[in-house]
Amino acid sequence: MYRIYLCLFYFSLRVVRYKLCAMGFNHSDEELMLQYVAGDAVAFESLYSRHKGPVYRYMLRLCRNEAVAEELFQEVWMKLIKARENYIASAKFTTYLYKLAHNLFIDHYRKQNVRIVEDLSVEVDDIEHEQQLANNPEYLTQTNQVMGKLTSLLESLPNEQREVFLLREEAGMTVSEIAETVGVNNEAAKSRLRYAIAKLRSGLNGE
Amino acid sequence: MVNEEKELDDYLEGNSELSNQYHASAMVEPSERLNEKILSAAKDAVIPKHKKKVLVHKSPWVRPVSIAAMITLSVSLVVTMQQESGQPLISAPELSIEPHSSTALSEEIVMPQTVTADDDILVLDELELRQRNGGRADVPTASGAVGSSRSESNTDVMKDEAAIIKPAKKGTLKQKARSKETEKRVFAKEHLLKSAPMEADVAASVNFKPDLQVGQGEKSLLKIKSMWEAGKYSEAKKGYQEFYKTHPGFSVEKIKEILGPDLYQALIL
Repeated sequence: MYRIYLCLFYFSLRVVRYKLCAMGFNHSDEELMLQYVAGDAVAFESLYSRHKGPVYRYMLRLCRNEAVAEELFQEVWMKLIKARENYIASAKFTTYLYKLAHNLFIDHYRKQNVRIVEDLSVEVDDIEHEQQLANNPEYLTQTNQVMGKLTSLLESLPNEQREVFLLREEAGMTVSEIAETVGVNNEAAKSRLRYAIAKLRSGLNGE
Repeated sequence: MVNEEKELDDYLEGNSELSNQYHASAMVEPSERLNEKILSAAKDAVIPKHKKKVLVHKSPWVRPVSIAAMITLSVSLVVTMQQESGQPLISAPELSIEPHSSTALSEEIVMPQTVTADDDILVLDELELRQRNGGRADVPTASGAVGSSRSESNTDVMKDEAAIIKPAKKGTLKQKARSKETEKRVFAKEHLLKSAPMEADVAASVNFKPDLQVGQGEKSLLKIKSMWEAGKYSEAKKGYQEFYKTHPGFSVEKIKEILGPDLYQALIL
């Protein structure tokens, strides 16, 4: 009798494994993307369900505007769909995806004539301004009601620092991957990340 | 600076309170509408779009016309099948062997004329001439000489035919052709009545009326039998005589089968 149970158990395990495979659980992002390029729409669903949240939060916290974030988020995925034939599996999919998002963000702000500080050396004024905002109890109270202290502190960071922090937290990237995505060298990426962490910690500690 | 480096290293190692706090904060997700939009775009990009269905606007006349077409087709199919099977579409009127109509029967039923060898030759000549003249119906034929088997409407035409053909018969060319093709004619004569199209031609040329349809003889015999059973013996005998005249080729076995051997003997006597 126990043999029948064993057989049933084994069979159910196989079924679960098959189902998981079909849902793309044991496939890497790169494999799923290649499957989608080959015409498998289900692979794209798996890929999208994996990355939709992080990419959306990355965009939302980078833009600080929900409508713009939604627009850019949609644009990222549409660009990925359209340019699927150009995808080369040698690059990490996450890097590829966030690079798309980064470029779209830059393009959007350039179109909007918003100044994006490329060099950390010229953002001293901005940092001071953001720090003032972060230390401003009125500002913090207002934003804390909605997003919490950390989120408001994050918003007070300069775009470059905020972006590298978001890439680290949302996409789980290493410093080199962040550098590749943002288009700077490793040292610059590391420096930005260091600044961001220091500011956030000091903000949280109430310094 | 050293402190900041240490903080960064700790942070990158994943032992950071900052990361925990960040992930503990509200994790917003894109809206369902956005998800559906993107996923449908992804599907549309990969799966080829189906051809737009051509909407056929059904007109009010489509249904009756289709029904009429269906009925026409089915009726024509049935007619064709019945014709092919040899059964008459409308059953032929039964031969009445009643005393008052027996004379009419003898008048109506035309005896099939015995086709003699000479007639066959003439018929063959006629066919040959038709072939030579490209099957033209207006061209006179040699069989015009057989006046007895002709209908009255063709009498004038037959006279013309005879006038035209006579010199040809005198000519040596025709005689030579006949002598050369004697074997061929004999062979053709054997198969003349067997093949249906040829039989039709012969029948038309000698005014042969194949009015004896399949099953008519059996009906006549059954009628005779019923008359005999009804006690009308003289009428039955008369009817059988008529039948014998009109159906000379009807096999005795068949007659015996239908009438029964006793009745057959009684009718013969």
